[in-house]
Amino acid sequence: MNNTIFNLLLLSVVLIFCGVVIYVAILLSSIEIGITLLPLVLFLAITYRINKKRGTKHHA
Amino acid sequence: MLKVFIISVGIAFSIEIVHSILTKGVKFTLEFFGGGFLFGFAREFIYFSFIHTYEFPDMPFKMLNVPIFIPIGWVFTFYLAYEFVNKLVEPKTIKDYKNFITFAAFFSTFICIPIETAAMNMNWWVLYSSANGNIAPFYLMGGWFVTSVLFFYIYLIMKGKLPPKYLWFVIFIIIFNLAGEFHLLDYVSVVLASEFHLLEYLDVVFWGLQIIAWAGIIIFGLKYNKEVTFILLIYWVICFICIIVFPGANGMLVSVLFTSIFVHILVKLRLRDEKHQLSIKESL
Repeated sequence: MNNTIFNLLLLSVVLIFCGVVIYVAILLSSIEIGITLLPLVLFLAITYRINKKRGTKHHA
Repeated sequence: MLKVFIISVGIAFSIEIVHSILTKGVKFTLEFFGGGFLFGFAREFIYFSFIHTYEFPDMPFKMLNVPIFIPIGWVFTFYLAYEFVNKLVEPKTIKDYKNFITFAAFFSTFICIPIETAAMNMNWWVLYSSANGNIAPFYLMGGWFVTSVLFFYIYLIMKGKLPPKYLWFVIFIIIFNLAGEFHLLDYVSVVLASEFHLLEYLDVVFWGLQIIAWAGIIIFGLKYNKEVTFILLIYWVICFICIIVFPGANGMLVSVLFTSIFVHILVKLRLRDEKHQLSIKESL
């Protein structure tokens, strides 16, 4: 339960960061600015996947 | 519009502090955030005073000409990198910590391009050289990568996770980075040449310093962290190619390349890890 709350806190920080960039992208109507977030999203997706897999291994 | 940036940084930073206190305690929070802030402040002070490639015209709350929100922004990045890379690597050995630094530097680089692009378009800070289009120039990524590598090396050496001999690598990364700032190196060359009465050999002194920086980073880099050295060298090769062939290249080119190297290194390390696990199982 605690772990989920801590993860959500961390996720909210990332969302604020992405929110600022998306806000600028919408304000300036530029898809290019939004696309710059892709490497970061890829990094976070890989981290989530590896962490989940590791968690499953630990439980097994 | 600058308010959007300042308020967001303020809120996100407060959440990070709460998260750090709740998950790691007050001592860690003071050490990490205090150390990170001082490191970020020192970095900005040096860049702002001696290199001066950008400016923060409208930022409030300045200390020695450095707006305090910029070092806070650095700590913000370091903490996020620390948290996410810990989930990715789970470091236990020296080798793990070296991988940790590599991935933390990647993370900072991936944060760099969106925020620098937003800042460039919104005039939150002003760069003295611009890129084609509305994406931040590629050369910023090297600065973020190196700053992150330096911070995590110093932090992990101070925490005793890495042996002090790794400071040699840190020293040569600093020299290598400063050698890339040609006007600063010009100044150092003139000072050294006039000190040793070698003003007619100014070019020799300049290129001599460059060679020392490159030799140092290759020798110590290959000894202490091959991955980081490989990325730094590739980055500098791209920089030289871009300066000659595509002078206004923006960060997307390097972003794509960095993403590819990141995936390559990740796959390589995971394969190595699996092979290692397999050899342990076989030996049992």
